[in-house]
Amino acid sequence: MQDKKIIEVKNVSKIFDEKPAVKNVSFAIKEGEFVTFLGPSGCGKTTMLRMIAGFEKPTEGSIYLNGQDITNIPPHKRPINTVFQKYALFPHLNVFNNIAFGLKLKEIPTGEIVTDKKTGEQYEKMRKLTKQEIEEKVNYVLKLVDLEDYGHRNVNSLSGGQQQRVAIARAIVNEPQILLLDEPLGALDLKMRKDMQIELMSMHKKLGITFVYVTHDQEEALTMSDTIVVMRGGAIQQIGTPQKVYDEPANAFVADFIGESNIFSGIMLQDRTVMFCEHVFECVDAGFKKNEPIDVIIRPEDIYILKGSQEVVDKGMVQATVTACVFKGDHYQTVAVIKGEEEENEILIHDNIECEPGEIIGLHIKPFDLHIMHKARIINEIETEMWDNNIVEICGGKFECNFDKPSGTKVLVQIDFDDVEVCDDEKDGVIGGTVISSIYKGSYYQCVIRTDDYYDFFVDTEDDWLKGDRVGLNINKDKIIISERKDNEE
Amino acid sequence: MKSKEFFKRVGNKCKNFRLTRRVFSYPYILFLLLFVVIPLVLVLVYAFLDANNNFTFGNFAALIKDGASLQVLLTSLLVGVITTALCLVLGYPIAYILSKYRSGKVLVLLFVLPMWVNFLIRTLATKAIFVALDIQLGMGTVLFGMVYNYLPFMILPLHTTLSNLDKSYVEASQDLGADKLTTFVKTVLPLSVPGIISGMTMVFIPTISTFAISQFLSDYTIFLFGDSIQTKFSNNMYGVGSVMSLIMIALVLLSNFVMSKFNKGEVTGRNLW
Repeated sequence: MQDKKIIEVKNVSKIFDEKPAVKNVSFAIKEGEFVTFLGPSGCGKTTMLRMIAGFEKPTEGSIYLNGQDITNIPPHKRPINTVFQKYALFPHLNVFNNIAFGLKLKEIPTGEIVTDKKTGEQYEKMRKLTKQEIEEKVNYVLKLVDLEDYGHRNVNSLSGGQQQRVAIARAIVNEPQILLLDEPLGALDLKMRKDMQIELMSMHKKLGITFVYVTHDQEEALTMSDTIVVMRGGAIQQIGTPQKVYDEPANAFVADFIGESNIFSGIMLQDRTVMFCEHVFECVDAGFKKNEPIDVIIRPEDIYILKGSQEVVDKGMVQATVTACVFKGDHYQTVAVIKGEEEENEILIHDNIECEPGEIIGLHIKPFDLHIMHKARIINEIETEMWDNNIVEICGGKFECNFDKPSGTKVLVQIDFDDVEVCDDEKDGVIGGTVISSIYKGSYYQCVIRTDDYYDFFVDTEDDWLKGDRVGLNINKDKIIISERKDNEE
Repeated sequence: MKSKEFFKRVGNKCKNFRLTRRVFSYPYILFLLLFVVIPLVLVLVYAFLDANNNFTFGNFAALIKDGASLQVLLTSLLVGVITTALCLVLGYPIAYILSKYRSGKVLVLLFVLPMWVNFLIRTLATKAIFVALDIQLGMGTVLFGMVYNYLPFMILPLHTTLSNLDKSYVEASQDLGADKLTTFVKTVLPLSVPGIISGMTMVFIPTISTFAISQFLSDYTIFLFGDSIQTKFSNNMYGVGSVMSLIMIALVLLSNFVMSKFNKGEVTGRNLW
């Protein structure tokens, strides 16, 4: 693979009606690469793709194609073609004419140099493609997508998979430098999707052009891509090869979104020693602060079960009680509880050993398989002002607090994750918010709740809150840590 | 005996009577029979009857011999074609612009608003304006009145079609290298054909069959087919009037048929063919 950058995105942001869809994103795509944007719906991946295609203009930042700024170039002048989510095949044209649509508009240089008599400028003469050339090209791509005899067919008479192929043929017949695919397999059934995945991959190899693919299906992304860009809330979480994203997720969100994983809160005691679930484990990570709170991620298939006599069980690093065990074809999925003095943590294990509920087993985890990550945040911090004596304004709501300073005093508010109370009814809370994510951490859920002025509260709760739900937030006045701040910047 | 059996049957029927969905259609079917089917049959019968209620083809012969009536028919068709063309030329850009803006719905309402006023009042008002402006009443003013009356019927179906047009078709076309004009000619226009067809049907057919508008706006100098039929009936010439009505119906069916042929391949074909 060449290392030439074909697309470079620099500090791009996109705001729709004051709602940020993409926030200050920068990345580069190498020529010939198969890049996948992966993320839950509403994470900004499609907006990013549409900005590369030219359908949306970035609010800020610029996009470069082969080093040239194309931010303000309209879509029809970009050497980029798109396969749309719902194909967008023209219903008034048959398959042949759908594919020939772009070719009929295309102009190619003839090689003849003409000098303009008035200005003296030299330019190459352009011509349209002949009927025969168009026919040859269309038939070539029809063959490529395995639809040789379908040229005359009406597009509405084709099956979903066939329409999909026509959409791909219509895009690649123009020989674009980049092919954009917006969740192209979303409408197909599972079997068809798997077949098309393999076909797309072989097509990518055959054509050698850059593919930029958008999906929310992590398995699709892992199977097909050279590089995966994981997005959430309009920001890039991680860019890396499928192996890297899977094995070394950059944060708890990536780990949770890609594949199944166990995520625990722990403390880094010292280099190569970590404590979580009230046990001390050896690991390979270093460079953390002493006693720094961290997240530990363990893939379920990296946990080994030791079962049998007490002697065997004792050999495990930690003991757990099995609560459920389900056969999944190529492995058993076991859920066990690690009981400690203060907390109980649930752990998910994929192994080929069958266990009985209630059985006590030993667990073994290799130091290399413990992935330690900085916590995205250890406390909610908000810079705000006092509303009145003993009342502070947080995200548009007025909260009681124990801080006797007059209105307008600039303050820094800190609230621990487990001091934020979430309630079902938005009206019961002082402020409302939308649940952005909820990640299970063995014994509790860590939710991110976005308030109406786009502050993300991290909240630890016992309950799993549904993504997208509106909830109310309350904070006990004794739990608000508040301090006066002085603006040094001004 | 017989009557006993009959009552028994009726009794059974009443016992078995159930309020099914079909029952709800009975009032309308009755209405349809009384006010649509029977009058049509009457028209058909009158067309073949002379003044003494004898069977005759004379009414047809009378019409063919009467050059004036044929002239009226031709004028009507001409007015219909010109009105439809003008409505399309005026209505399409309006509908297109309206479908592009969010505030379009309010503006569409403004365009449709005149339809809430009775057309006779509207037409008489138009005439008053022309007279006040000292404009010669004639073909020009008749066409103006027709376009004014039927433009909303063109804009509405076009607006519906254009605003329901999937935006991704436009994007796909731009993506494949078409600039704005090419995108319009090659995708928006062909995809809005169903709207154009239904708009044309809704303008052309009422135009050729309408009466009053042409009489008022030409000061009774231009008679269209609809006016002519009305005159025939009010002069007790039921036979010739019925023949003309039959021709009218045939024309409406024909234009409907032609338009639906243009519209083939679309699922929207809710008309006769």
